[in-house]
Amino acid sequence: MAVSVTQPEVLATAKPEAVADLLPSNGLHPVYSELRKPLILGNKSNADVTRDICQLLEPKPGLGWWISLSVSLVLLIIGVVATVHTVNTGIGTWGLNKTIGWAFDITNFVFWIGIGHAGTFISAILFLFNQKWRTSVNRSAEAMTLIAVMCAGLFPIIHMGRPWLFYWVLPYPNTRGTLWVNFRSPLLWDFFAISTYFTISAVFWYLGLVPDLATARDRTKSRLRRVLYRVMSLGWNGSNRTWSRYETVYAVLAALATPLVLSVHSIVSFDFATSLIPGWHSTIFPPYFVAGAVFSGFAMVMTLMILVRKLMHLEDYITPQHLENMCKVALLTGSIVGLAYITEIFIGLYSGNPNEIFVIINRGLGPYAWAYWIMFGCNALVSQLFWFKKLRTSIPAIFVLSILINVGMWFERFVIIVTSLHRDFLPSSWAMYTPTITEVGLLVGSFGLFFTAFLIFLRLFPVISINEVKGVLKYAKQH
Amino acid sequence: MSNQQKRWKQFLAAENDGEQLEYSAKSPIAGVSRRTFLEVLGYSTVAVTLTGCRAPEQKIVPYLREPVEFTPGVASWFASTCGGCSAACGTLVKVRDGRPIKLEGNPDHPLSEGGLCAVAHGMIFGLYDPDRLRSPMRGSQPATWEEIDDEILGKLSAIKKSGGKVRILTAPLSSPASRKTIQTFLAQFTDGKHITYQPVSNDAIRQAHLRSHGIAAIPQYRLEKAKLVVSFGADFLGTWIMPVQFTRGYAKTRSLTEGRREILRHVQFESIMSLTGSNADKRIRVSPHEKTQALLYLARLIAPSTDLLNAYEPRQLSVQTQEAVEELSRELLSAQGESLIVSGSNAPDSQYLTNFINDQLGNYGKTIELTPTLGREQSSDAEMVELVQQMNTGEIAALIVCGVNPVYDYFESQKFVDALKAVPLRVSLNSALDETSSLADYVCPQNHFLESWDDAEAVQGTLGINQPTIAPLFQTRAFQETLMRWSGDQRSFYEVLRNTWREEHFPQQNQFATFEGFWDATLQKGVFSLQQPANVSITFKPDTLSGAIGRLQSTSGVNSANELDLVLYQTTSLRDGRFANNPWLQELPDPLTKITWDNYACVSQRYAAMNGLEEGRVVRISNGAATIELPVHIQPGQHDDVVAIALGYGRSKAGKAGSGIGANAFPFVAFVDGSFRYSHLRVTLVPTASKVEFAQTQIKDSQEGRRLARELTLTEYVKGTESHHEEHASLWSPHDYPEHKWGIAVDLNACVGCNACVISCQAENNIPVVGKDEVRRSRDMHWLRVDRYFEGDRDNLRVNYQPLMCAQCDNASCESVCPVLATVHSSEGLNMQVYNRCVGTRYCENNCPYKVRRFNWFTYARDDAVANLALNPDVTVRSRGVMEKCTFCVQRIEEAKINARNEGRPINDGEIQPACQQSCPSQAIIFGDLRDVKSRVAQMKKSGRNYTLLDELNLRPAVSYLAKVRN
Repeated sequence: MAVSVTQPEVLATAKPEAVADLLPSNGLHPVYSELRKPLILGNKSNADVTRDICQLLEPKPGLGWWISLSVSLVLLIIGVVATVHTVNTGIGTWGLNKTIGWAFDITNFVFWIGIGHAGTFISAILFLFNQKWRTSVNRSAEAMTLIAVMCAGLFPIIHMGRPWLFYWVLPYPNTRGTLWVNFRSPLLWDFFAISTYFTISAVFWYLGLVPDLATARDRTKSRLRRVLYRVMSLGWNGSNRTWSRYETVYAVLAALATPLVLSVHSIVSFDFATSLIPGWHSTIFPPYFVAGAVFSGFAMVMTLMILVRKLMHLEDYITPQHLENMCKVALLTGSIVGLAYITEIFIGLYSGNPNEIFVIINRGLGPYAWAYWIMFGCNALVSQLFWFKKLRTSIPAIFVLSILINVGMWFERFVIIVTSLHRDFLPSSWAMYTPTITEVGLLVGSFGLFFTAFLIFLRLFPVISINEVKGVLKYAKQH
Repeated sequence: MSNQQKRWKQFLAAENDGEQLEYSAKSPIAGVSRRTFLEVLGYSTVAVTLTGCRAPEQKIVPYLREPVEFTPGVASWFASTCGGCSAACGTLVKVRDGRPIKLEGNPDHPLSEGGLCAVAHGMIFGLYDPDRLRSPMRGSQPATWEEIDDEILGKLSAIKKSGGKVRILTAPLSSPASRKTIQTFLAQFTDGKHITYQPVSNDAIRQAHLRSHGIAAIPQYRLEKAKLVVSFGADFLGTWIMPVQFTRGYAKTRSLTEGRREILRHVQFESIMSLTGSNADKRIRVSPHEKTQALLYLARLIAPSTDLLNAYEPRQLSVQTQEAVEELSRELLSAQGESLIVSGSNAPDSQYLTNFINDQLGNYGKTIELTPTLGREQSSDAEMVELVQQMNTGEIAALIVCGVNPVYDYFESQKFVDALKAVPLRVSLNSALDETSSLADYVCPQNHFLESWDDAEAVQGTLGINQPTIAPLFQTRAFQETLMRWSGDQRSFYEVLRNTWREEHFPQQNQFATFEGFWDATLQKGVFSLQQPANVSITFKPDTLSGAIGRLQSTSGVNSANELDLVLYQTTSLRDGRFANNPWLQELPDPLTKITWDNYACVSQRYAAMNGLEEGRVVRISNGAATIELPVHIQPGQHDDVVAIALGYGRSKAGKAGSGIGANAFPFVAFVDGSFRYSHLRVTLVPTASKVEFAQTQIKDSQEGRRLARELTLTEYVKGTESHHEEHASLWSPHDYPEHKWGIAVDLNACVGCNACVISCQAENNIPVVGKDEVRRSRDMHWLRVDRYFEGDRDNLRVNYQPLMCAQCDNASCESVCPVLATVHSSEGLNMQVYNRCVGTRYCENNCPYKVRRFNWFTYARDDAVANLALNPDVTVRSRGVMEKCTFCVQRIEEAKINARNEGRPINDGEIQPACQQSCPSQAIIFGDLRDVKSRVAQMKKSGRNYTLLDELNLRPAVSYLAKVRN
């Protein structure tokens, strides 16, 4: 133990040429290179990792956690009150009208679905691309995904006029004769896409958790937790056979989850793209929505990770390098989003269709221009700041920028939904939309739900994938 | 390493053993404990009890002996006469299970010809108005009729002895029998007099005709015979005298069907924007003063030989107006005997000059028939003022108010209130505890007209019958019977009515040999037309011309910069305020401003810009004596020197819906030269700090360059426009319509935007009223709306109306997006909304380009048992959270299909009329089967003017429009 702690320090302080000389004799991993910065700082050994991560679950939660949970619960209660009020009184408690049938509800829905994209992107796509840095963030990113999809899933139900009949959207065997669902409706596709995505994400997340749960099971002293972890770790025994099967299944699931990352938001975008409202009816929506979703997802992961590493003292595990990598993804996807905005303007103006031209002008200069420019600034422009390494590596800067991106991406959905609807074909029906306190309450409540669930996750499950991080330790490569 | 692993396995094994032990202890083999037994017992008891829960049984008991002519579920129809205003349009009353639920136009009526206005459709709500009085009142205490009759009879006999003056104050009555009853009642007294009072008076027309032709009556204007109509501020399509008849005539002569190439030309001089002006081919924006001057100038140009006018110089007219008048005079001179000049002024001099011009053009006997219409037995405005003076001096011993509300709408309300206090016996026969009734000693509520017998003769020779369609809902009594009781007559008014008809009308006809035959036929048809008396040619009497010209010339316009000319007008929905407690009418958007639930001060765009006024800014309007505060509405097309305010608002005791809506502008009415004046009123306007938001159903005025409500000029039309409708390719396979394919053609050339269809639809389809706040949130529920667009500049404003109902598209964008198939296509081309399947995603609403879908945001108030009687049992009352929309009145389609099937015949074209079509006064909406190429709707769709709205979307709507033609 003592040796493993001190040895890397020697290495880190040694001159590069000296290290190169040392390499073969030290028996280092063949791909080990000093040019690659270590992903995990603090020269952790396997045991350190286990201890560091598991001990987060074991002691009584600290004051920071309790404060965070209280705030989140307050937000959640606001959301519950708003939901009860909506369901009791009717959708009239919102600011919608005869022209604008969706606003905050579907904005929140698409926003949360978008947030839910980063987790699976990190765990599945980056896994397939062999991006080792994902190991520090994939667990919490996946948890974030699941929670975000849960938050998202609530809105299509709450937004219904008669939410108690939401199950009518499901094609279940019933006694109503030929009455069935409408397979032409994108809302139905949404249901399939989201439920599939949620299922796969949940299974994938859970499967990744199994070895760590076994570790936690072996360490925990709490009887309740031991029962929980024992049940959940499915009798994991750490044998070679188990590991071999586990990794095969994990890779297969990663391959299965990958297309879903692309399909979910494509299908969500069909809600708009297949309609005929100018500003919705657009073929660029699927790629534009997917890029936007990954963009917003990464922004949210960054926001969360910066908080988590402070709150849980995980600075060694989630390093500025991780954040920088995520910034690069945000830069790429943000640029795609920016390109989509410009393309949209071009297509609109070039279309020769007066309704399309009007929508573009109305977005930029109409009554909701402020929302459009918040969207444009926070997404297309803010993401470009990540070209600067100084900003990419400054944690306060990333924190601020990632929040701005979240704001911008929420407004993107708001702009798409509200500005397209509020002035469509017949000027006689043009209207304005102002949210009510109930709708704000629902938005706030969804954040409450999100953070409450996330904080519980932090206390209940290993926040970093112990087994995967161990694989990227310098220590692992040395032994 | 290995050591660690071993320990771990042992640990696990020990744990597992323990669990198994625990489990076996709990196993059922160990026997049932007392606790478990009780649990099972408890659960099963609850389970058994719950299965017994269900809705209580209610038995439907059929009639042992079914009443004659009454089949549950089948409507009965009664021909009757609308009692909404004195125009007395013919109606058919639909009665379901003993309840009148809808008024429709009576196509057999020679004047209204099946048309009805929005107010008439609203009358059904008036019947079930929860604020109607339910019993007679002594002061504010309910009493019985016996008590009230005894007391009043006692007091009246005292008056009889003392020879005191008795006055009955009513609205102008078009019913000869009622007038006779009143006369009979008054005959008991030494000095009894029946005075009629019109808060918004057209007395000047009577006075002018008395001067010009010796007949104090309003003549019959025959728009259908005119080729050129010139209106000086008369809103004849909206509120003036008999709007339904005029609209009918107007639409007829503007119709382009049957290959007509020549249509009526309509020129309007007006200072405010009226419904009529908005339909004009040429609209000249003038101040009220200029309007008078234009009339004078026109008179001079039409009658150049008249010395009196030769001296007149149109110095006060703008160059454009002067040119317009000159051009108009040439047009008029070439349309002699085929033109019609009408004036909305209540100044006898203006009306007299109008008569002069009409006489010069030879219009009397052609487009104007001196067959007296309304107002033969009407009192003048001066008589009303005189009455108040008499009351004030204590001369009047008893005042019986019936159907009027002078405490609210008399121009010097306080004076009337004071005068009323000086009257020893004050009786109100009004049906509600309104402003006047609440000051009366006794209130003897009269029946609603749907509960009463009556007749009507709005135009001489056209006799309408009003028959009751329901027994009085409350302890009310027909006012005629009340007066008969007080004259010691115990008969029913029905008997009196029949006697009158037997004695007076029966001998005037020769069609029927027996009175019973005559009566039954009239009752069945609702109306009987006597032989028109020969058109008496009465020559124009120019005696008072010089005086009139002199007085008109001396009028002056606004001279101070601070002053504005106030014009008071009526809205098409509330009229003079009688219908203020009708929420349907309150929520009916004004055709031009689209504002509901409020009145406002209309100012021009330039005035607003110059004085820094914005929409909704509350201003204080004052003439020194009266002051009111109202929000400003900026009205395109209005004259810059004019502020216009609608009368009929600001009721303080209208009831639940109508009290406290807007402000009362009646105090601004002036009494000049023996008549009430509604314009040429000088006021000042001062902005206040507050601002309100209007409840407006349409916010955007312009079409944004999109060709939505299309129009073309007559020249273009005559040159020929071929239907340029292209068939777009579709990916969907077309629907199969084996039997019918329903469709509608809306002739925008006929539509005048009067809104009658909107209320007809509301009554037919149980459409809820949502209230001012909800309209402000753009949540009005009307299934059918009339879009109004302004185009052009302020001097040359073009207004287009476009009624919009669900277009029942073939490629319906709503159908494809509903996840639960709550909106589906029928085999007859209808886009059906299945309320009980709808979960309320509102996706269909978003995806509907016409935005005709309406969502139930709340459970709308259906808590009033009386008001609920107005519901149509054929149409589901929608619950919260479901989408609704126009169904093409599918209940009527189904009814016609059932009837046709029962009779073994195909459905005839025109047999099915949706509510909007049925009572459209201009017959702008034509419904029918598009599969039948001979149907009227299919024929109309072949017109070169036919186009589909948003054709480029290829939704293939079943509703198409025929472009408007301006002459």
